[in-house]
Amino acid sequence: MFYGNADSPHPPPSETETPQSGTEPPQSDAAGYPAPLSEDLPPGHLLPERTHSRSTLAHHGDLRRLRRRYRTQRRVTTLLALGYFTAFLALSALEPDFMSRRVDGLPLGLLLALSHVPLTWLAVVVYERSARRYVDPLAFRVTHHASWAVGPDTGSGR
Amino acid sequence: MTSFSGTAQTWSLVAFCAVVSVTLLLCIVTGPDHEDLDDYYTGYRSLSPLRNGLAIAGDYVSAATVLTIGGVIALCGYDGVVLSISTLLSLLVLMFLLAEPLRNAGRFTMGDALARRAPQRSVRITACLVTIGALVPMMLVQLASTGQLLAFILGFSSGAVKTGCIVGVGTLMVAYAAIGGMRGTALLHILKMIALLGSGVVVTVLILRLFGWEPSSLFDAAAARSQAGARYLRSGLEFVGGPHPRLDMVSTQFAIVLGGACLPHVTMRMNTADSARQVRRSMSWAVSFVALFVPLITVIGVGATALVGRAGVAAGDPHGNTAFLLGSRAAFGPDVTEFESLLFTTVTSALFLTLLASVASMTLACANSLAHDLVASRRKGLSPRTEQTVARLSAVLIGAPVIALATLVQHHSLQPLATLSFCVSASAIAPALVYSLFWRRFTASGLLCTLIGGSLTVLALMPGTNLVSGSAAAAFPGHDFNWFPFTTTALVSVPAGFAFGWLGTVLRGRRAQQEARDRYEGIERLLLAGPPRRPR
Repeated sequence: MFYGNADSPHPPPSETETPQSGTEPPQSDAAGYPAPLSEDLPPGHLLPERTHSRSTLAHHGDLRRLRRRYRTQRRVTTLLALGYFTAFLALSALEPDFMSRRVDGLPLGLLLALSHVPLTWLAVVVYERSARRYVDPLAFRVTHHASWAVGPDTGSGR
Repeated sequence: MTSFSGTAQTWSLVAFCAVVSVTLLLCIVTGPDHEDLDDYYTGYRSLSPLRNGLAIAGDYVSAATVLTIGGVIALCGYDGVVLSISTLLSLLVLMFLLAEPLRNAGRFTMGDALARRAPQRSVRITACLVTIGALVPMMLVQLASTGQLLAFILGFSSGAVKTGCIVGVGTLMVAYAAIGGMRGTALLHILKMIALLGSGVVVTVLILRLFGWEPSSLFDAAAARSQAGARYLRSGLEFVGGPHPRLDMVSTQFAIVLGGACLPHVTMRMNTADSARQVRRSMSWAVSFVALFVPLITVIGVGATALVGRAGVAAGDPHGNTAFLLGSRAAFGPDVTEFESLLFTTVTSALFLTLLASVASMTLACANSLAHDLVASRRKGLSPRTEQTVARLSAVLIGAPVIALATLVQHHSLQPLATLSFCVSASAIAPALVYSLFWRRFTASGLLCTLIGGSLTVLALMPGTNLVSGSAAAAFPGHDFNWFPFTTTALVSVPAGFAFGWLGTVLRGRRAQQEARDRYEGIERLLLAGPPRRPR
């Protein structure tokens, strides 16, 4: 496989990054870092040394952006799903009379319960689309970044 | 009405034999490669998202789920529907919250994912014990109800034959787990899910046709024959016996939401996709299939009460476990043609296959955890071939006592065992996974506190709940040591599980927390973006 034995911890990131990631507050903004996609910059004008550090910095920004997007996506979707369900449960437990009001011949409570099904489908579609649009490109950039891809762990899974 | 006509029984017997032989054959043919550990523990990493989604959904919708939810819907109406919604929501929350980081952190078992944060061997051993503690009760529930279910389908009543059925199905489950590994069980789940959903759709259409395509007349007919009248269509019927019915309902539903999808055999399936992206796509399918299953089981469960009546459902099984079958059977009406007989046989075979597949994959999860977390973590450098052999032997080692126990508990109410599984999962596994994937300062001692403290709280409270003693429907109806006035322990044990993890971390002091934080930063890239790829 791609990665190493789970018994051994994953190697820490390369030397250039560790101090930064240690001192940065985790939720700080990525402002001030160069634009991502530095791999696509013409390398000719830059010294090799600088290219490396620049790309590492960009990579770092990518990682931070990825972290933030994942976090937002995770919180929003989980809270929405659980919130809707909790509201429904609270109504069922506290307002049974309201929930047994008939709408179209069916009790409102049952309709709300079964409304979870189409809403789930909708949520899955929206989640999948937003993840493809906002998360996948960043994750791809992070996993294919040189400092990560040629790590000592690569290909030692078997 | 407790048995079906002779033709249907003969058909079912033939179909069961066919199911057993075909699936065994499939397991042998698709058996894993002896030299490849990844192959054994994760099956095909190459399954398409659709198929993998079917396998995950199949793993998630266990026989206990189908039978119990069908029964609660038939007997309690509204509360049963809410139960099925909680089950669906649980998988949705797993997808949104845990699936992708879990895949990125994990390798084969739950212990692997936890060991990313805390590589100590004690963590692995505890993870293995909690895995077994959460899954064995669930396996017992399903195996022990096998005897009665098959007796009902095939129309025998002898106790010895029922015990024989348990032993037979138990042996099969060990065989599937040991021979097929993750590949074999993935195929079983795909087949089962297709059969279950396919036959479910047909039965649902038939039931709705009987009621003139009018859901409201179906629900009203069920309410009329439920012996509860209008209360059948409002909440509270299931928990009417306890002193705090509302609180009890809310805590039970949350136990299902938190616990259902964190059961280790489900989290283990997250590792069968080859990247977080594939897991997400597989989960999209899996959630969609489970969402499709909810209206199906609602109509079939309510249909059982509407067509057979509560008395008929309760006569099959006091907890309504046969409601799914009764509803399907009644959908075909009193006179069955050959073709309808065949259709009904599909339903029974789908249920039988569900039973086989779910106990097999739970056995597999326990066996894999034993082999990988307990044995392989002690003896480094175990060759893949040896580790596989150990995993296969572990399947037998887990299976034999479970079969023996199942024959012993078959005459008791099985509800407390199922509840125990969900509560351990919600109180120990869910907090452990959430903390270790998202909390930077979470230390190894916090992890151990969560796992051990959460499980022990559940074990301490469970014997005192309503389900174990104190009422006619309890596991020990003749005794009364009921002091915890709820049906699940979740109200206390879930907050306790989270509190233990927090305390275990905070009490360890700043240095341990800083170490945990540094360690988290070391693996953060892996958690967020997955394992590295070779350069393009």
